[in-house]
Amino acid sequence: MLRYLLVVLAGVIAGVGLAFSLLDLSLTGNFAIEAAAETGLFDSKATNGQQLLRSSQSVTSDRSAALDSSSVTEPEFDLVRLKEVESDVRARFQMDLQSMVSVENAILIDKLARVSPPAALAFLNEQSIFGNTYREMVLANWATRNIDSFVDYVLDGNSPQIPIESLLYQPNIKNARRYAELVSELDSEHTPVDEIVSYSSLSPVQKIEKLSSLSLQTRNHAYFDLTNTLPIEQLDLLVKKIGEIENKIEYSRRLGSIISNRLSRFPEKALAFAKQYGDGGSPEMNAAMRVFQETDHPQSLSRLKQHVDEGGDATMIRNYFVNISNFSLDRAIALASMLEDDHRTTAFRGVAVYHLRRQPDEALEFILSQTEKDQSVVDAYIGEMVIQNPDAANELLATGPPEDIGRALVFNIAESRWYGDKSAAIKFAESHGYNDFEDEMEEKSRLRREEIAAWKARAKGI
Amino acid sequence: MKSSICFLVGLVLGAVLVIYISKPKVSDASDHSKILDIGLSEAGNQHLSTVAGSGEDETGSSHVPSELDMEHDFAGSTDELITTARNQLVYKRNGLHTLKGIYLLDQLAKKSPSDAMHVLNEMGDYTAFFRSLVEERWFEQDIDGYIEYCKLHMTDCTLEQLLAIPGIENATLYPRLVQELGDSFDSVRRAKEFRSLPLEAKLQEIHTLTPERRIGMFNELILSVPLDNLDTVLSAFLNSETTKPRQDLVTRVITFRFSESPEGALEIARRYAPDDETVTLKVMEVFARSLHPEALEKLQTWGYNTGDFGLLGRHIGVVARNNLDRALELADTLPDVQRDRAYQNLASSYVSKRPDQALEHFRSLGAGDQGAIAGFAHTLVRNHPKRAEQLLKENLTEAVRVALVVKMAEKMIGRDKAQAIRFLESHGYAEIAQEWSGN
Repeated sequence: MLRYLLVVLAGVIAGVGLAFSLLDLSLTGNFAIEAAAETGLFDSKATNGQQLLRSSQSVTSDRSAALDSSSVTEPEFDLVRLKEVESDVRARFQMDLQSMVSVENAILIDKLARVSPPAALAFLNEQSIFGNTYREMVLANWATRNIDSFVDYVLDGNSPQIPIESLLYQPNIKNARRYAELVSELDSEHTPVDEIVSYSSLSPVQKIEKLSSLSLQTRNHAYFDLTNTLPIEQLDLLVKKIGEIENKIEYSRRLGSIISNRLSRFPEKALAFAKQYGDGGSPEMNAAMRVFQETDHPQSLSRLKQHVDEGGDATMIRNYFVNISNFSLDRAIALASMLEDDHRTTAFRGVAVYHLRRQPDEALEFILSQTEKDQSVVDAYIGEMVIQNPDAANELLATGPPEDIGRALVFNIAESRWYGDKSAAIKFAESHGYNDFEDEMEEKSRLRREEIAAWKARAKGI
Repeated sequence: MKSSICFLVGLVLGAVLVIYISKPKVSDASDHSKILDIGLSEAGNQHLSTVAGSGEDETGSSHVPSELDMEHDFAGSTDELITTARNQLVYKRNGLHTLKGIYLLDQLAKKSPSDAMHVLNEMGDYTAFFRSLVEERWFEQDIDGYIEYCKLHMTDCTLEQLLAIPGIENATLYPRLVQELGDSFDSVRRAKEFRSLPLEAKLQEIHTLTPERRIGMFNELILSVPLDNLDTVLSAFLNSETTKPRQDLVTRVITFRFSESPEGALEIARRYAPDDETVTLKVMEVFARSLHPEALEKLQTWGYNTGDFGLLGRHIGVVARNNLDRALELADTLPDVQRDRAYQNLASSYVSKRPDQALEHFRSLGAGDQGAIAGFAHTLVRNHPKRAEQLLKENLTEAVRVALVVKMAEKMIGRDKAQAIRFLESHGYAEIAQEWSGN
C-alpha cells in the first residue's frame, strides 16, 4: 500500500513539474503578445492564432523600439522612431466626423504620445476642435507616466492652456524633480500648496469629508471636481456637506449646478433630488425643470405647467414644444391644442418656431386655417414670424390678410419698432388703421412691471 | 502495471492541482461592489445611497486585456461588462481618458449600445465627445432603438442628424422622419448623397447645394480634411458663390483649425484676406492667447493701428498665468496706456501669486491708471473680499478708494440694493448712491 502511495506521490510531483513548465511556456507567450501589443503590431484585428503568432514572432525586433517609447526625457531621444510613428499615425488616423472618436484613433494617439507627448498634442491641435477629445487622455497619461517631463513642459511655458497651479492637483506631483521650483513659482506663502497637494491624494469620500476645512480657493476647485466626477450614488454625500458649509443662496446654486451637470438625463431623479435636498429655491428647481424641458418624459408637460403656474419661467414650456416639434409636429400641435390660456399661446409659440423654420409654406397655411378659430395660435405664429422672418411678415401684410391676422401682424411689427422709435411704431400702426396700439403697449408694459415686481417679491421670499 | 497507473493518476492530480491554483477568478468583478441599478426607467423618488466599497480600486480588471491589447473582444457576459465598464468609467477619475476606458465603452457599445449610453449619461457632461462612439455602434445594430432614444432625450440629436445616419432608410421609423422633415427632406437627402463623394468630386459639386447647406458642408470639410487639403477646400469655396463673405470663411478656418497656432492663422490670413480687419483681428486673438515670441510685438502694432490695446493686455494676462515675473517685466517696458491694460489683465495672477506685492502696487495707482485699478479692484472684491474690506480701512488714493467701494457695492446690489446704497453713502459717495437709487 505504502509503495502505491509513494508512486502516486511521485506522480503528483512530476505532474506539478510538468504543469509549471507548461504554464511557464504560456506565460512567456502572453508576455510576448503583450509586448507585441505595446509596439503597436496589432495593425489588424488580431483575434486568430495566426495573427497572434505573427505578432509574437516579430517581438524581438520591435522590443528595442518599444523600449524607446518610454524614454521621453532620455537625452538620446529617438527622432527617427518619432518620425516613423508620426507618419504612421498621420496615415491611419480617421478624420471623418463619424469615426473621429474611436478605439483605433485612441490607440494611435496613445502610441504617438508614448514616443513624444508634445508631438501628440501638436498633432491633436492640427485635427480641428475634435482633436481635443484625446487631449485629456494624452495629458493624464503623460502626468502618470513621466511627471518630470510633464512638469518641464508646463513650467517652461509650452502650454498657456494649462495653468501652473493645476499641476498641484496631480496625485504624484510631489515626486516631480522640479517640485520645489514649481512651489516657488506659485508663491507658497499665499497659495495653499500643501493643502492642495495633500487633498488631491485623498479618495472621493475623504475629499467630501475634508471640504469644510479647506480654504475658499481649494474648496471651489474641489466642488467643481467632485460635482463632475463623483458617481451619481455619492452625490447626496456631497450635497449634505455643502449644506453644512455654505449659506442658503450658495447651497441652492451649487445644488442647481449638480443637477444640471449630472442628472440632466434623469428627469424624475433630478426633480426628486431638487425636492429632497432643496427648499424650493429657484436654482435647483429651474435646473430640474430644464431636464423635463429637454426630455420627452411622460410627465414633462404636467411638471412644466405646474412649475410655470407656481411662478416659474414660462419659456420652459415654449422650449419643450420646440423640442417635441422636432420629432413630431402633429403630436406637438395636438398637445399644444389641449392646453388653455397662456400655456396654449406659449406652447404654440414653441411649435411656431419649428414649423416656420422647417415648413414655412405649410406653416402659413396652418395660420390661415386658424382664422376665427383660435386667436392664441394666430398670435403665437405671427409673433414668431415677425421675429424670425420680418420680410415674410411684411409680405404677408401686403397681401391683405384676414382681419385677425392683419391686426396681429401690424401689432407685432409695430412692437418690434416700439423699443427703438416709439413714435414711428405708433405711426405705423395708425397708418394701418389701428389707433389703440399705444394704449395696448402701455397696458402690456404695466403688466410686465407687475410681473417683474411679483417675481422680485418671490425671489426675496427665498 | 498497478504502479504505472498510480504514477499516471498522481501525475494528472498534480497537474490539475497546479492549474487550479493558478487559474484567475473571472467572477471576482461582480462581487466587488453592490452597484445600484438606475436604469432608464428610473425608480422615482428612490433614495440615492452610497455604494459599498471604494470606487478607486481596480475592480474587474481581470476581464480587460492589457491596456494596449485592445483587439480582443471582451469575454464576459453583458452584465459583467456593464459592471466592469462602470467601475472603470463611473467610479474612476478620468476613467474615460484612458485607453482602457475607451476600449470598455466601445466593447459595451458593441454588445449593448443603450447600456453604454446609459453609462455615459451617469457621468459628467465632459463625456459629450464620446457619445459619437456609442452612437455609431448603435446605428450599426439598431437604428430604431437609437431613434427612440433620441425621441426621449430630444436635445441629444436632431432629425437632420438622424437622416444623415448610414442605412437609416432601413429603419421602421424612416417614413415618419421623412414626413416630419417635410420641405427640408430633399436638401437633407442631397447633402447626404454629397457627403459620400470623394473630396475632389465634392468640391466640383458644391454649387448644387442650397446656400445654407453649402455653409454646413464648408464647416464639415474644414473640420475634417487634413491640413494639406485646407487650401484646396478654402479656394474652392471662395471661388464659388456663397452667402457668406470671404472674411467669414477665412475666420471660420482660423477658429476651427488654427486657434492654437498663431503662425498657421497668420499664414492663412496673409494668403486669403491680407487686408481684412476682421480676419486680422481673429489672427491677433490667436496671438493674444499664445506664448508666441512675436506676440507682444504684433499686438503692439495692432494696437497702434487700431487704438485697441485690449488684446495686448489679454496676452500679458496669459503670460502672467504662466510666468508672473516675465509678465511684470514686459508690462513695465510698455508705454502708459499699454501698461495700464497690461496690469488690468495681470492683476488676477499678481494678487493670487504675490498678494502683498500686488497690494502695494494697487495702493500706488492713481487717476491715470483706470484699467489697472479696475482689474485689481475686481479681483480683490471677487476673490479676496476680506482683503478688500481691510484695504478700505487704509489711507488710499481717491482713485483706488472709489473703485473699491463701487465694486463692493456692485457685488451687494444683486442681493440687496438698499444695503448697497447705504454702503456707498457711508463711504462718502452720496452722489453715486443717488444715481443708483434713481432719485
